Amino acid sequence: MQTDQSDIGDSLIDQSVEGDNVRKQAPLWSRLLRSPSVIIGGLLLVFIVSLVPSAKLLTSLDPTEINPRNRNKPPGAEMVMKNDSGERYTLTSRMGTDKLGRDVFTRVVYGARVSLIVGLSVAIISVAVGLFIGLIAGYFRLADAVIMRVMDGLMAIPAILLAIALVSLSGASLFTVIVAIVIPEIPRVVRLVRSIVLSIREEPYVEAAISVGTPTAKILYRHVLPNTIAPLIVHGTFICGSAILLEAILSFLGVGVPPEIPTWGNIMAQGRDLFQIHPHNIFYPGIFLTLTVLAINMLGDGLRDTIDPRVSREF
Amino acid sequence: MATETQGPELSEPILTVENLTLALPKNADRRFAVNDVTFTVLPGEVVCLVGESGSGKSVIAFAIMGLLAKALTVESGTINLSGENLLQCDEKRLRTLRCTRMGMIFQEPMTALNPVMTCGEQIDEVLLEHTELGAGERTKKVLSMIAEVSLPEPERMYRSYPHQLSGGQRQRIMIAMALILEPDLLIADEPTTALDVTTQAQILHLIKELQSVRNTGVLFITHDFGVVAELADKVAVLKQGELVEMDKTNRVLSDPQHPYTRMLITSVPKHEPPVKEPIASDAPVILKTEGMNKRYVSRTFTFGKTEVAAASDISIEIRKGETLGIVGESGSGKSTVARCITRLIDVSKGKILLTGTDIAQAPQRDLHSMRRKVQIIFQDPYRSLNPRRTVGQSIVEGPMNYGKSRQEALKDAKELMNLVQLSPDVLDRYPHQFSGGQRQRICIARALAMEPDLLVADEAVSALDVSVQKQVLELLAQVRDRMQLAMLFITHDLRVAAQVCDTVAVMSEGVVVELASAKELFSNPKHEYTKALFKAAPGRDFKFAEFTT
Amino acid sequence: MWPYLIRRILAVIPVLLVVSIIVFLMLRLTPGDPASNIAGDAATTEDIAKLRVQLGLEEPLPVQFAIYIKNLLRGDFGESFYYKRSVISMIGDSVEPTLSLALFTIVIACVIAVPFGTLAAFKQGSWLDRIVMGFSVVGFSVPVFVIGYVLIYIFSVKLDWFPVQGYQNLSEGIAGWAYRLILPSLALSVIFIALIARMTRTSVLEVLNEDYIRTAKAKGLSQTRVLLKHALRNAAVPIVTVIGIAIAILMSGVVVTESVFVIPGLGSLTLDAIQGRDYPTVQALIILFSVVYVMINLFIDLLYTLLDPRIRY
Repeated sequence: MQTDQSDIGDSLIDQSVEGDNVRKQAPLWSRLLRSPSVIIGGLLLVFIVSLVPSAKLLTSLDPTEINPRNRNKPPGAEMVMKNDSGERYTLTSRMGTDKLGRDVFTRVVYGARVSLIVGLSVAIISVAVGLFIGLIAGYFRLADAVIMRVMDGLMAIPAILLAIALVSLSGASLFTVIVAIVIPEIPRVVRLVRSIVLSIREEPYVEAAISVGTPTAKILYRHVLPNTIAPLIVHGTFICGSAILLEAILSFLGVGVPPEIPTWGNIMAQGRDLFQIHPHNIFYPGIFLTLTVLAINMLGDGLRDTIDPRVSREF
Repeated sequence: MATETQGPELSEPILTVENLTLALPKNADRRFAVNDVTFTVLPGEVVCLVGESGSGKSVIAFAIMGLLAKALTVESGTINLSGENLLQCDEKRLRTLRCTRMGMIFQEPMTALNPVMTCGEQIDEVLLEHTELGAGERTKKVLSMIAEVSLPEPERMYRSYPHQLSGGQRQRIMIAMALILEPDLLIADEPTTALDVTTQAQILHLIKELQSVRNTGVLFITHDFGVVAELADKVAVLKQGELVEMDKTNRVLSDPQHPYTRMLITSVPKHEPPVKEPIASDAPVILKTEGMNKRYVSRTFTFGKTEVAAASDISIEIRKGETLGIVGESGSGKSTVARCITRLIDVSKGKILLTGTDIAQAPQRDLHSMRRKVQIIFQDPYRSLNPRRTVGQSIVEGPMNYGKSRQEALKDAKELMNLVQLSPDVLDRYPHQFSGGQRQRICIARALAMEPDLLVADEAVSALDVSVQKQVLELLAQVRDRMQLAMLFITHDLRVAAQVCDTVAVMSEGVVVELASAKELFSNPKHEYTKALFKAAPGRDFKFAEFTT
Repeated sequence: MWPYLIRRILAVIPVLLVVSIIVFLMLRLTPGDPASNIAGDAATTEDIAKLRVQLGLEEPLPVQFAIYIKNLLRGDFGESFYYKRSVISMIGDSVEPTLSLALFTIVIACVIAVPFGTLAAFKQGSWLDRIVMGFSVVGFSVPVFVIGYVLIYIFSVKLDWFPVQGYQNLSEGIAGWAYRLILPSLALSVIFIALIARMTRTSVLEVLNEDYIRTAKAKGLSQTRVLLKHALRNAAVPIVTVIGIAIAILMSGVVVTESVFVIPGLGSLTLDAIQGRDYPTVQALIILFSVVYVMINLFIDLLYTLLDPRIRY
């Protein structure tokens, strides 16, 4: 038997870089934990996610309760509240109040819930649907031609326009917002999956599987599907981030989630007209929105660098 | 040829590498890429650095040029170019020396040239950087250099982009670029490895010619002892970063001192087929193709369709226990034939009779029963196994597709591992834990698990080092004889074909130009193309492994 | 070249056909009756029925589709339900602000992003590289309207250097026009700087690993020459691609930016039309944006042939 040299030495010595070969490397978790993007992004995200279950602990107020007495208070001002038995007491408003007297801090904390629900569900749904369509397009020529034309058409319509049109035509609700954001995301997932399938099906190991009589469905499941997982996790993370952004934009433009539901976009939309005097209505939710998307994007970048360097960031 | 050129001995060496040691990064499998290597190159001398992959031969070349990868560091030693220690030079000085005193050509002439600049511009750049010549003079000099490397129509070549030229032409452009300022030293890093054998012969000839006219010292890096025999005055053998032997070419080839050198040279397949028992004429025919055709049609709705015949009118026959070799250069259609027969691609016309049944036009669903009779081994051992599945899973996949239980299939897989000389205990490992040769053995085991009648080996040993190649070839011959397989052996390497094949078909431009028994073909080639192919094979006149002691 | 050109132009047709089908179906199959929306809350059932006939909604779907396609092919986008004006002329009035904003944005983005991306790649791992990469992650994450409001708050409200909102036509003077475009296009360009800088860096890094860069070094060329003549020239195709993508998705950002800065462009027109369920206008705008997207892609594909001699068709 020939001498067995490790591949690391081989490739360095030949000054050639081997492509996709799996190298001997540290386990995935330890590599992930060595990436600063993953750590910073992850911690930031844990903080934001923790707002959801702890909302009731952080604030005793109702995010939708209108209180004319407390309109347009600046951050740090005292709010006059009435408890159930009608007694008055004062509370400090950490982020001020909006023009209807609702506490911005309370609304921001509750707003995290909607943003995260939208981000997560859009990511999961569009990856699942895109994976299914992409596998079919990549493996069956006939379907490919039709599917890709439809995808090209969907891609040609600007995502925001498509989403705005879908929401305003079918009525604003959390569900329609999610669907409206999913639809423009799908073509991008389909393209990614399809390109992976097209390159994997040329691999000799797939041809070897064909020649040992493995049926097509099993080839897809065994040899092709596993190759899509890493890129899809990365891409799904980015989708999650951009879905949260898009939801905020839709709400901000007044065509998103119904205005009575506290979302970061809605809070900002309601602060627009008084922005010059009371900028806190826009800045606080804006900061949280930015931090959330930043956390997710950093996590995505770190994941990509660690588990799948091939995926590039595209829209 | 490696002749007794006198004279160079007397002059001062242009290149002296002394005790060169290059360190690998910490996580590598060994400490040094190159360990304590010493050699010299005299003016007008060709020195070959030979070694298998991982021997560190290319690293030395890059160290001389000052283009070492960042991961590698110089531990100790000196590199003297006409008395100047290159390891002490700063980047600016090195830049001045490159192309003026030392030039380099690379393995892949396609990727080594800038795709968006014309060839002329790229040569012109050298003059622009290193000389004070005006534009007109430069163009004149570039054109005359292009002519000197025997390229036709220098003006057209000047204006051409790299992709418009053939591999051999591109390598000539590289040579023109490296030699235009008449450097003292030319470093050639496997410059013919990516080329077809006939092109290789021409390029070797050109290098030899230019080198002797200009009295250039050449450091030629190769893995091919044929090339060494053809070209080198002196040869240095590297093993895992250490120089094990260095002497005049004739001496090393005919009387190697170091066991490693000896082993390498014995591994070079001989050009003459071994004496073998002929296949019985009543042995059953396993595969027979009649007028098999493969055409690629590309349609454009504006300008009709264009057709390319990848393989035309292929009629071959393989009996039980017989090996048919298909030999040809790249683009000859030899792999197309292999892929048609395994029905990985569809056949345009003709018949493929597999144990009497025509499978040429069988629809996909009818191929299931045929698939187990024909198995294929591919060229690239790194891509032939799914990196995410254990070796065992890969081997049992086929038998389980045909109804074997997992236990049964695994039991058989263990036996097969013994057969391919690997430990049965490693079935639960992943492909990346194996070397290239071991992976190729696993691929053979996977193919054999199907108990096929016909085994197709598509350049199955081409990516392997010569010593590993020899072992895999022996293994293939062994399993063929033991299991009485019919084998279709696709290769570009005449020597390999000579060793394993009973019958050889020579292909060129999609057509079989000559089909004869190996013995007859190698002793008495008839077709002009076959003759040209033989003539081009490097080191053909040298009798390898006939040592004097 | 010519066969390719023709093929490429013809390939635009199916995409536009798919877009028009999507738009057609979207406006007709989503819940909610256009007629009752247009007629308003006070309308009687009869009014609505009359309107349905008038709008052709009583016809079977295929017939509606045929009429729709026929009108599209004639370039007839109909009349706005709201303003009772031809949709085309309304679009014509709104093109200038949008075009100006887009142009400013993309110029700012390219001028900043390409040099910084290239430098970051060349000095990989340096502090400059870290800053560029850091900016690009943050730039992706800050929504354009947040940047817009921050800029307005600092430069208009606090420092009073720029007007808070609004647009001035080019015909009223180039200085005023440019002055009012600075803040909105800065806000909008952030994400494109991030995108283009990152892509430039990646492509240049990739090219720097190519064999021909090693050849160029082996020829003894200077670093600047290797970088400009060999690396950047080869990285041009992916960079141009990403600039194309940027221009194409610019449309989405324009809608938001116009809303924040109260610019009377196509974005504002779209928003008003969608909220007012002004179907002919919505239809025309979506198709217009898609045509722009498709044309930009076509233009980029053609540009490839100039940038890379290997691309022969």
